[in-house]
Amino acid sequence: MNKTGLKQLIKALSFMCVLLVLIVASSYMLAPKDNTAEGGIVNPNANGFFSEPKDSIDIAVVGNSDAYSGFSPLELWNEYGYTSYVSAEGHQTVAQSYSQLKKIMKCHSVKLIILETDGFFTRSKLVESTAKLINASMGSAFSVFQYHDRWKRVKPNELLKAPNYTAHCTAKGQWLSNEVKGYMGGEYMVKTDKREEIPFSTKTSLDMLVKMCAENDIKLLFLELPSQSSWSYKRHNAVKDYADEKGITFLDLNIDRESFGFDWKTDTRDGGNHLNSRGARKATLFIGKYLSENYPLSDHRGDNRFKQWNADYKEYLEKVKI
Amino acid sequence: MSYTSYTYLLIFLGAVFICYTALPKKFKWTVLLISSYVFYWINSKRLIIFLLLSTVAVYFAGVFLNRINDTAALAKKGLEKEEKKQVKALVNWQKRAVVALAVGFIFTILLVLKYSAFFAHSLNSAFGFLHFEELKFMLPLGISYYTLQAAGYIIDVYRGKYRASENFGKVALFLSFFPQIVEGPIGRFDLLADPLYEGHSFDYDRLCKGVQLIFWGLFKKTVIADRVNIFVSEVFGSYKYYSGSIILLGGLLYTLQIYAEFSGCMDIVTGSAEIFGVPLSKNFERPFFSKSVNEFWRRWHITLGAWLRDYVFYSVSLSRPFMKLSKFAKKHFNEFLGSLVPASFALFFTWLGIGFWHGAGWKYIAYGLYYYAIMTAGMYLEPLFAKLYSALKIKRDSKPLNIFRVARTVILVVGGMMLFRADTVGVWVGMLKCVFTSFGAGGFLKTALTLGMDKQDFLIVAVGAAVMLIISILQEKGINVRDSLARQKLPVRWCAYAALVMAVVIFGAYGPGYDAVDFIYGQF
Repeated sequence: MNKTGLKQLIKALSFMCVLLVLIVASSYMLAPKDNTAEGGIVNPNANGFFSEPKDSIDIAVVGNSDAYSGFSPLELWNEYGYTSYVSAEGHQTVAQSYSQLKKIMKCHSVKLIILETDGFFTRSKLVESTAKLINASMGSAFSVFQYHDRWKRVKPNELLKAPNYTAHCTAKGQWLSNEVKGYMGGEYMVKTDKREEIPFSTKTSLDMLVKMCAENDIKLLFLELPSQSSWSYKRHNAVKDYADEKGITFLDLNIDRESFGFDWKTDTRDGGNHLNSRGARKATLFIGKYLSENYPLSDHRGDNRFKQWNADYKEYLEKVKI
Repeated sequence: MSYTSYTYLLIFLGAVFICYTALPKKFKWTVLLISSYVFYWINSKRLIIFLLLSTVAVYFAGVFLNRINDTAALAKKGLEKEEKKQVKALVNWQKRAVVALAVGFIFTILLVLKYSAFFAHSLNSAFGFLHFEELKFMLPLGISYYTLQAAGYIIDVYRGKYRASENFGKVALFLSFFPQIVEGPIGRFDLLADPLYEGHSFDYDRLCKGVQLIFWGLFKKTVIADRVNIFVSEVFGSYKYYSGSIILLGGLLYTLQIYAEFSGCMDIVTGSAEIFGVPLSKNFERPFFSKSVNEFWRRWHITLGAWLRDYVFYSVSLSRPFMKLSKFAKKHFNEFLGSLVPASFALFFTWLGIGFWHGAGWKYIAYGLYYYAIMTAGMYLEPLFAKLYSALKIKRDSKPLNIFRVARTVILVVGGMMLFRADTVGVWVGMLKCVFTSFGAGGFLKTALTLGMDKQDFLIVAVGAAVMLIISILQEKGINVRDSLARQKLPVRWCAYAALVMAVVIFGAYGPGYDAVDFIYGQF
């Protein structure tokens, strides 16, 4: 490289550094300083883990609406004393799960990640999913890309303030539903050798997520909660293949549902797509039993630092009517 | 893959630039060709076949025209004058047949895919006994642009402006070059060929200038155009619920939206092409400083206007029936009307073409004819205006008159834009009626702030529009803003560039709470 070229390179890199400083600074200033809806955070329910005491969450559950409808952290607490948080969002892709997990790992020393697998098959074109992956990564690395619009509401004295997360999500990310709208149709898990291919872009994000778990010594469990409308045996086979290849446990609750007393007539809120609170309780207790037999997780029920969980469980019981 | 997406800006453009820079000079154009087809495939998938079909037709037509010209040149050698005339007539006939076939073929694709449902619907509505199936096809990306570009190329070869390229890949690149395939500008082969094919080495200044222009385009698109979209959609979607003052604001904001968006897109694509050393034709030249609608259309979507002028207006003007009409007019009318009647006849086809090109619908035809009516009225009333100015002792180039003319043009253009955006001509008439009969300025502010834009949105749009206006005024005064900025000291330059980037990052209407807005002109 000649002298002019070197000069130009230094100039370009210096300007990039200036931009980086501005982006980092604006990210800090515009990032929500609280994880409440009023504080400006997107999906406060999924981001309630920010205000849980540091390192108090052992299990992080991520995925789409199936996960926040069908997994009950407080049932798991009451029965096994495990602390978990459902950081799931509607239509959350694996790329988004990945960036959500990165945020969780900054606040909690997670022992187990449960990844709901329905999001593996979110159909989007390669370009769209690449765009989602880039968007998720940009938003995760520099919050100005996600929260830039907060310039409208942010007060001058908030700009330099350190975050103070105050939201208290009693249900720990679960969407509580007392609705009952049963599924009356036939069996959807008809055994087959066919496979529905996991999209390439999802596999790329999955590989990143698996690697991140391995690097941080975190166990990973694939979970599919009962969902008549979005699940099939072809999908089960595809996830099983991937899980076997990577040595990951895959728990599919669509198979052998009778073993945990699941009933499509009473345990779904919308005719077979999502579980209601009753369905979530049954599924979670089954998962809890499996976890207690296979993972060395700590029972925190006797620990005074976790007494808030008992109060939350009481409040949860008051809200759950079915 | 939108021009404003990270996928385009960071991955696609970045990867193409690296490959283009890395390859030897003589292969650089192939990088542009492959990337253009990849871009097209990503956006249009199997519909790429129509682009290929048009390319094949135009390529072979060009090759045939070359052969005919070469054979004729050989055959003419040693012939007598009369024999040469005969050969020329035969050659002209052959060339016309080739051009007619090629242009007919590519326009048939366009007409069938874009207009068949409209024709079928119109015929079925007009004649109750007809029952044509109203087939709606998926439109290949940029078909209205590349079809015109392809037709222009082959007509120019026919007219002897240049020789057709006999390299299929190069013709394919000319028609598919990714920065201009979505919304133009409609390119000319004689201007684009060399920069596209010759291959340029890495140039730091060119790269910087291209990136700066891309960010300026992003500013217009994401900070201004996309921010007013919700308001505009609401007003035009449910105009009956709003007073005339709100409808007028909707019309003004839509005019701002379409200008910021279309010219912003042109900046992004011109910047993208500039990175590879390819200068694209200018499509805008500060149209809102125009003193007449006529001038406005010379400054707005310049390449479309120029295309229609060169290939429709001139073709009609030089056609036999038109010449006859011209002779007839000159014989039967006075000098003024004798030249005006034929000109307005030729203009009619140009404006019908502009309207029809924009879309398959009566409102688009009405849109073209709206401008035709204004322009011809202006032409016919010109002597009257001249007398009026003279009687009132108003100088034609006085500042107040010019300001009045600019304001009048803006009002007429806003009216046209409202027709362009309204669902039907009936809706447009209804909206105008509201503006004139129930203006209802009371409660204006309160209502305006409930239609998807809050105070801060209006503020940022106003600031953005003011920045655009200031830059336009400077350019109108002959100042090259980019060059002037480039001459400033480094801290000043960097502050300006960083401010532009951060304005896009912070004030852009993207991410949570905003739906991605497709480019309006990308839908034609």
